[in-house]
Amino acid sequence: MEIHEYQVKKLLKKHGLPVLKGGIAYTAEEAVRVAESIGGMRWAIKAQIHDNNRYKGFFVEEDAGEGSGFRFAQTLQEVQQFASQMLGKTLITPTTHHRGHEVKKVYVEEVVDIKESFQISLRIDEETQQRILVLVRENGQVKRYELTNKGITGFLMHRMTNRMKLSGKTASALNTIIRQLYDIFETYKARAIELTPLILTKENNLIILDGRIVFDGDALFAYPDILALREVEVGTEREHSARQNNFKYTKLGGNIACIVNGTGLGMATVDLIADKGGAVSCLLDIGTEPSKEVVAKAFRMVLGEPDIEGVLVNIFGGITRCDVIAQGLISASHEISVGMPLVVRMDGTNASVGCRLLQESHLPFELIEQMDKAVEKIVARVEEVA
Amino acid sequence: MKFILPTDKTPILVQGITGSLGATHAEMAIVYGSHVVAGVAREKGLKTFLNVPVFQTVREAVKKTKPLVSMVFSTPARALADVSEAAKEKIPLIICTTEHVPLHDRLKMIEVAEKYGVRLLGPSSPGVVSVDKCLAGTMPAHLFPKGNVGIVSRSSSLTYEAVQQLSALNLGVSSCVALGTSTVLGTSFIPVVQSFLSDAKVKSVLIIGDINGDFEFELASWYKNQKKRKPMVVYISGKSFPISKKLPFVGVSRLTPAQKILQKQQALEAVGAQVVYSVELIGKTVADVMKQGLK
Repeated sequence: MEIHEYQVKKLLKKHGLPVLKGGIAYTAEEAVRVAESIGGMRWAIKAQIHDNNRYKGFFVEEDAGEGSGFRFAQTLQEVQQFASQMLGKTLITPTTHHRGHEVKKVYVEEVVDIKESFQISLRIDEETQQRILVLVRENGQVKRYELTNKGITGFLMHRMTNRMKLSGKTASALNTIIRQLYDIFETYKARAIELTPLILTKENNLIILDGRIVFDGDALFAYPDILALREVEVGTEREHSARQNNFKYTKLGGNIACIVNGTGLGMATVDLIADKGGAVSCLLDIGTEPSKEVVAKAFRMVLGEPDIEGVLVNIFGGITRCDVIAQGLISASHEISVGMPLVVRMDGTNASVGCRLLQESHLPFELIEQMDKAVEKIVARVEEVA
Repeated sequence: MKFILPTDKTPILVQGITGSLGATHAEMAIVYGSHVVAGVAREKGLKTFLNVPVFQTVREAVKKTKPLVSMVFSTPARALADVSEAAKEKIPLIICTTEHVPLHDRLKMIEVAEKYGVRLLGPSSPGVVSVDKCLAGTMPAHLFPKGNVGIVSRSSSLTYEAVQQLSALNLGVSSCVALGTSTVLGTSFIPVVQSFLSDAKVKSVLIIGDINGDFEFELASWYKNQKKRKPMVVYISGKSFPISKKLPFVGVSRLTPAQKILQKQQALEAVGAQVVYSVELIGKTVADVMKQGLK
């Protein structure tokens, strides 16, 4: 889970880290008031959406003016103008949903002159099972430091300040910043904290210009204050609703919906459909021990997808019981539209009971015994219907 | 350090035996024939559960019953503490079945196990099955026919699929070790494959990999230098997935799933493993390599 730039900065500031003066605004008038309280002659106006390419984006609406979700204002009048142009408008970037995100708030921040900038990342590298600190300099050079469970050591900081060519006060400022970051990283059990970038100003001050904290969804039960910041992003409503029902939803873009139990089986099913010439619209993984209700919700969700032309249910019952799957499918059956191909492959625990229940329901489920045969069937049926 | 496969004589402790998952799987293990010697539960005054003596601490349980394996059924919040408790008592194999353990805690679990010189399987591991001898974990052992294939897997659902394909061809399983689904795990492929190589009952090894992490690469470079070899079959799913839209971390260049899986397949093929390119062919490929033997 990620939070907005202004929320990251608030958290960093609370822990004594150097960020620029700034404030959040929901209206153009508020933006002007924030700018006035910051003072100075220049302000940055930054759209607050969950996306890290706000600088590269453009707005859908014409009256949002030229420029991305990041603009510089030279006068209070411009602050007013830019804020009102962005607020309530739709920003599209290379990494947002294709419909874009509505900008509901902007961050107004003071502007400083940059001498040098660094990208810094503190994270658990899941590929190598290590805590690492990564430094990227302006020239693109990447330096990776592996941390022990002792965290940030004096030796590590010595190497890092040397590489960044910092000395004296600035070096000790970096030391404080990195140690504080590590503290936040541990305190919140975050997956990653990134400074994007950390800058050195003309006056040789180190300042965090933008930051990103990636929280671990599995750890957040202990941090209700962070969990309260979760917002459902545009285009992720279905993922969110799936998460609340304890299943996983992945959108893939084709026309066949798949319901499976287990990540590996799901991926293998998607691969097999692709190999047989089909394309998966979405993959729903209902987990290892779903209740009848969860299965029904998953099935209903799939049937409600706008672009599906067929459904494949591929279940291998280990701990999962196929009779429970069948009951769940049947209980959501009033939402089946006429002519929609539905192929079910169930094997493993209680498969024969499950198959009998589906047969006796007289619903249009086609039962196929093997996984590859079931995949061939759904691909062929979807082609027929189309 | 080699992975010691439990047998019907291996004494097993169940931490969290009275919880709903703990109770279910402890009972299944006992019914299967596993030698469950003790349980740990916080409830005061409880002496036995499922006819097994229950203790309040791992220390007491170890003193009285000397288990060699502990199955841990905890909440994500308690998992690190429970695994640490078992590690401190030097139980040689700790199987942590708990899913959704925070990433920081997963890393600390691995460090605690290393510190005390014990082996951690998981977290989020469905455990081990030594067919017809011992079930220690959450796998549906009743689906596993006895045979000569050693399975080590990062996907439980694909394991059951593979076992079904094997049994349709009249092949069976000797032992199956499920590593867990995350990339931060106490045990990777290598120690398990090492055990399989020196286990006379295992005639071929089936590896079910995953797109994430480097375990498959590590296995390939380790296996290259092994004198002892057995027919090995590898399957990895996920090649048709698109690359994640999420912003990569600083300083990371990312491969597409198809590229990464291809690299893993090539690495393992280069050291003599037989790669399965489509899921429905897992069983048939294992049958073929068992017939052909080592190339």
